[in-house]
Amino acid sequence: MSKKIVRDMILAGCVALLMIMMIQGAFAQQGVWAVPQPERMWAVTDIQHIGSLSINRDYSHSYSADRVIEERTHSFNANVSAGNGNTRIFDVFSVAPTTRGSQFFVNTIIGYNPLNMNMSTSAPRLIGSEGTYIGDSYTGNSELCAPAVRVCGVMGSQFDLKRGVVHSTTSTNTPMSLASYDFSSTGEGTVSTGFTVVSGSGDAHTSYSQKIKVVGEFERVDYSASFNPR
Amino acid sequence: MRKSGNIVVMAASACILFIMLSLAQPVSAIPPSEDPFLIKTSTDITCSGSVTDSVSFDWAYTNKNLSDNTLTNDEHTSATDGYTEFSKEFTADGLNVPNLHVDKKVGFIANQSMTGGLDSTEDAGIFIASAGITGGGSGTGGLCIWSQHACVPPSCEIAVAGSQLKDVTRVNSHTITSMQTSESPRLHHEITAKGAMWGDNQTYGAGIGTVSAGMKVDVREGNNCNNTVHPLGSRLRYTTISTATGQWNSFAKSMTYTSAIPALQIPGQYPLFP
Repeated sequence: MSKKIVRDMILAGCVALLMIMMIQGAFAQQGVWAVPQPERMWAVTDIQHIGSLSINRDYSHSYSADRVIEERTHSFNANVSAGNGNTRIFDVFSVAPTTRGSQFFVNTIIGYNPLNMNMSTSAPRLIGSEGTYIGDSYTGNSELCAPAVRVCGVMGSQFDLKRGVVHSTTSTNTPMSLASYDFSSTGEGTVSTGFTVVSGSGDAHTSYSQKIKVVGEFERVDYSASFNPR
Repeated sequence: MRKSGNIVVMAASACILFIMLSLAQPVSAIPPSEDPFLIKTSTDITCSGSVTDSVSFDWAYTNKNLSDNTLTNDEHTSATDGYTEFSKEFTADGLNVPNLHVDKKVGFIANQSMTGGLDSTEDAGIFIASAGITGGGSGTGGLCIWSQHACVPPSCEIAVAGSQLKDVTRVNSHTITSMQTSESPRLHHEITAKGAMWGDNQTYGAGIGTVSAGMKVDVREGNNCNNTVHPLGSRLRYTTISTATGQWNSFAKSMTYTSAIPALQIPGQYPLFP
């Protein structure tokens, strides 16, 4: 009888220990993050609309972990003034935690058709912008002979269209600071886009900046940029 | 009784396994040890109206105590009131050569208005300050007997090249820029500019405006590999600029500067699939 009690106690202890381990593992994410991870989130927007429209989104996070500091800021806004134009928006936004940071992804397609082309300057237009900032800092590790690394980047676009479509995709990935940006547009009006990145490691320094502005009637504006610090 | 004993053993084993798994720490990703970046951009525009594109690239680094290097590339294109076809592929690679490669094509025909025109400027340059080297290379390959006692004298090298389209109303141009400093330093720029098909009948018209291209080189080099005394061994200067204004059916210029800094005789065939 006493042996059975001992066995039951061992079993109960193991079950309790297992639960503690599982709870600890779920919250501590294998002990990598010293603070809670970036939250996992996603949003999908699909709108077909006639008339005025206003969409805004602002997102930012800042996390520090084992030898990594990560910052992400993103904003998107689009407006169509009153009128009988046809607007279509499809947008996917997601943030997912990785072992030492986050995977960030935004894909936005927005199109505007005024139905009746009004050439006056007060005619309804699709006006908006989107932009993403990434900032990563890796503390050096003397045991691995790894120097400190800093990466900052900005990518985005602005648009003011009498008619047309804008499509942009942004994705970033920590811990390697992979960043890619794709932009394409067709229509009539003004679009601007670009990509800027600055990185530094020890005595090495790299900077790249590109800005594009297109005004008029364009059948194709395709732009893609990627940065890989390897 | 034996059945319950097996359950206890299994439960204990599971506990030990979970404890071991829980204590195991993940291997952290190692941050980049240097700055071996890769930047790639692709631009493709077709527009009736105005187009502006500007790029600024700068990379400064130290090459294993051998030299301090800077690669610079600036481009600016502004097309106003006309039909523009613009495409550009840009690659900057901190690991493999060429470290920078730009392939740009611009086609432009101004509207009948007097305000249309194209300005496009591209500048590229490498700046190298080398302290010279008397020893062998680094790594296992540096033990190769032919890489020992290498004598690379100190040098200061500035090489810039570029081209410009100014007040152009009709053109079809193609420029290629290539630079490298992480291995035998080299700078190359070439431009081909000619007229374009235009009008409803798609007739060929000569290029109109001003097109220029050129290169400047200024190099000082020591005459030995002594680390303490650096007598000047040679001084090299070179300048070339070509300009055509008016109507041109063809304008082509290709320029290359290759540094005297040799590649060390270190076997470098790895990896097979970089």
